Amino acid sequence: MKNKARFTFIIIFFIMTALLVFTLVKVNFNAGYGKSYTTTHQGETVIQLSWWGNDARHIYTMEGVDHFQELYPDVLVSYRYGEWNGYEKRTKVWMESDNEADVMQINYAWLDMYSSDGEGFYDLNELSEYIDLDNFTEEEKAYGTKNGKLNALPIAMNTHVFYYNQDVLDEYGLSLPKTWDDLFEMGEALGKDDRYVLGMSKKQMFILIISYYEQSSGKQMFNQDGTLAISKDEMTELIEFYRSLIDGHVLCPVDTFDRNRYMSGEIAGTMCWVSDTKIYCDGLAETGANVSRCMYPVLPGAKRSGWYTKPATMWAISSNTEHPEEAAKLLNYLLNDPYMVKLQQTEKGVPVSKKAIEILNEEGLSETNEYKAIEEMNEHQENLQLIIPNIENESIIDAFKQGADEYIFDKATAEECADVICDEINEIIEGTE
Amino acid sequence: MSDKNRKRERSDERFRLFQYEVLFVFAMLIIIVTAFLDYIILDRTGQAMQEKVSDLIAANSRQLELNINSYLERMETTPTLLFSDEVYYLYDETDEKMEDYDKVKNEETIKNRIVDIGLMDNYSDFGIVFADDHKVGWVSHGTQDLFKDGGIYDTFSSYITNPKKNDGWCFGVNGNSDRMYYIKRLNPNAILISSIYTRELASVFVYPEQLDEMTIRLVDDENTIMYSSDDSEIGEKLPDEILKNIEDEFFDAGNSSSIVTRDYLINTNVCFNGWRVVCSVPTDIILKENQELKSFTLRISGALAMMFVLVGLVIITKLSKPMDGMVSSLQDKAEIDRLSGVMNKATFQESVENELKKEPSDDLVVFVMMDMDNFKQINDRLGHSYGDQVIIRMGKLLRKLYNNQTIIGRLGGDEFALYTGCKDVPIEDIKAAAIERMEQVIEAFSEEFEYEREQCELSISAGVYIKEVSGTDFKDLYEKADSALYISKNNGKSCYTFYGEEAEDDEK
Repeated sequence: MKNKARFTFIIIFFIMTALLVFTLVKVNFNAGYGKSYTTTHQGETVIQLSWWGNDARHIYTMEGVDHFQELYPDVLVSYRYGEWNGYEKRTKVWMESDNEADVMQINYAWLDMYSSDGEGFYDLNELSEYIDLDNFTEEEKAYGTKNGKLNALPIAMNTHVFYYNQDVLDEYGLSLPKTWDDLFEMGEALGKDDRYVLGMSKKQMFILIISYYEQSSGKQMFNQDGTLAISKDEMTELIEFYRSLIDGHVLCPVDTFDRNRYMSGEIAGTMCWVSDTKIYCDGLAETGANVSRCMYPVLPGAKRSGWYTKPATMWAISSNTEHPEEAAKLLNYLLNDPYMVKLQQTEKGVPVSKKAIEILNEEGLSETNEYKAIEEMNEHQENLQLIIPNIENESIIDAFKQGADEYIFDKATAEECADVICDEINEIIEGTE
Repeated sequence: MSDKNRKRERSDERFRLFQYEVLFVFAMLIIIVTAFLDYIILDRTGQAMQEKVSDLIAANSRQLELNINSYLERMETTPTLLFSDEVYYLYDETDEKMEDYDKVKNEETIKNRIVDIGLMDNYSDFGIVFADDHKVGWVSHGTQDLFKDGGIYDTFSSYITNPKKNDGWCFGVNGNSDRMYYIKRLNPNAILISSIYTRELASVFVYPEQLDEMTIRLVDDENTIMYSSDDSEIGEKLPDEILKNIEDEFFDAGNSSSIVTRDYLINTNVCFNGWRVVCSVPTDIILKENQELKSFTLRISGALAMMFVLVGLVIITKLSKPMDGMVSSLQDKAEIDRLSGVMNKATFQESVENELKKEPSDDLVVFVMMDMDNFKQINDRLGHSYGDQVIIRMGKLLRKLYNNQTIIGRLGGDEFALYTGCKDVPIEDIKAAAIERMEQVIEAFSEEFEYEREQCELSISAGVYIKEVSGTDFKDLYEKADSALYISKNNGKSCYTFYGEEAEDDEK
């Protein structure tokens, strides 16, 4: 009897142990089997953003995009960017091949080039649900309106400004120039040491030459419809003036202009957009130099100022975008979001958006050089004209510069060059039309 | 409560305790066995998981390597488009014999080419630098500002480390860590510099189903981090805990490999230019689910063990009810003489010996041996069954006469024994009490067995031995009392004799 009870107990014990182990093993292994799991990955909406600019702009814009994606994790933003030189050509390739980014930083002139009928870009009025248009006045929106359609919103207003290395001027006992003659006098002094009064890019050079033409002739170089208004004789005189600027050490040849030459004081001053103040004013100040600002030189008795203003840059949405809602959210973020506004500061100039101004006012906007330059611009409002797009047409600028080079390097006479330049510009304008 | 009852309860208590001990041991055994099995199973699962994750990361890292290789190859291929025309790559701005006009025209041509080529990617630099530091194309302000005192050409020329292809890669130029450069020599006095922002690599290093806390890095030949999913690391050296594993011989073989250490799972893939993609993830992150499973399983095991104990308790309770008293009954059967109801000889001896050893001990003991006179005639004349009845009645009589302080035993046949311990009582009083008690026994016996005395002359004789506890034992008590009994028998029976007084004729 005793043996039987013991045997029964052992059997019960092993059965219970086996049950327990079986249960545990089943719990462990059934975790991976027997059930079917479905992993779903919500695809993001991918949109593209494109812009041009300098290093600082590239870096803060990418940082802003990262922040935007944190706010909208279901939107993935890829980007294209580059420096201004050549960017117009890249944009032309993208636009003509219908391969442009969803959200684009555009130049004011491109509205005429790609959307003269208002169809080239998305009508932002249709996206007012996502874009806070109340931050812009009707006048500001008018800059981006074509054929009644709001194609773009301005980021900032821009005009040209001159910055001089005051230490260099002091070294030569010079004052800030007010007239063209002042510039030539300065060139005579600096030229003795093979230094130049001004250095600038090809594009700024063209506008400088235009301002002289308009001051001296009292006429615009381009008509409001974009056609060339200057005669060949006047172009001849203009080319000769351009050469005199170089020969008189007023203007450094654009091909040899290097920012480092300006920063080192070899070139005393520069002309740039207000939006480039960070590079040419603040950058020079960071080297320890004293920087002075002044406006255009004037010709005594001039009937026109030759000063232009424009929206510095604008944000637009591609008319081909498949994701207008997401694109509009990104555009609104770029213009009005506090984080982005603080990242951007006045790098593109003093912002137009009321919201952005409010935010930057708290950050000391009025102390910035950009703000001071724009304030000065506003004081001369009566002299400012809205820029004619062809003034910034890179092909036209190249035609002028390359034609003028023939004269500057004595490969042709001024008359011959003027003929070529006028013909080429007219061909370009006709081609654009 | 009688000693017997207390003894019975103690026996039952000991049995229940034994049951609980068995249950506890089994429960512990179950826990240990299941914990051991769990450990084995989960350990193997953990290892399998590590291997699978390692394989998965290795496969994904391989894809990253292919991505970055593809990206870097494109970075190398694009500049070669400058070799499509001699004007682009043979132009030497430092050639003093060349007229300025030709230089301007050549540079315009080159700029246009760069603009066309630059369409291919987001370059932060794409330009040509000549031996006199003159620049054509896109050489950014950021790069120019690294060389405010000149030396841009010489510095970048020194990074051309591949003599066959006349090119090279560099990072951390003059402390800059936001871009990586590719340098290609165009002619003895001109190099092409192209660069991208390292954060651009985020689009290359998109990791499918990225593990939490996994860090993806691109490091150069000197283990400087050029890109990291953790931005704060860029420009720093690889962390020591990663580096020490990277520097193992295993990794120095140059192969793309992975290793699982106690702290990290690390995977490295070598790019075609010698840079490495290094992915690392803390091991405990990989095993997080396994740890959770282990914890869950242990909880389940504990719960099951508890359940086992509870079920065991219920079973024990159910089983023990019918067994209640069985143990004590069995014990009684083993210890109590079935006829007389007093202790059998073995138990009586054990009890007496225990009493003799107990602390504090008694001073004196009274040991009595009793034997019925002429009991044989009862069996012969009245039958054995009647004899058994006599024994039964004798047991009852003794139990009636003696209280619990006296141990009563039947030593065999018609022989009984009594043991009583006394403390702090003078021996004279004890002896007087013993005499009185023996008189009572003889009288009670005479009354109880009157019929038997008339029929068979049944009577009782006794031998009494009073002794100090020290220096005695059961054998001594038994022999001395027995010898006194023997004297009583010889002296005519139906009397009692105190041991040691027979010489004085002390019989009654």
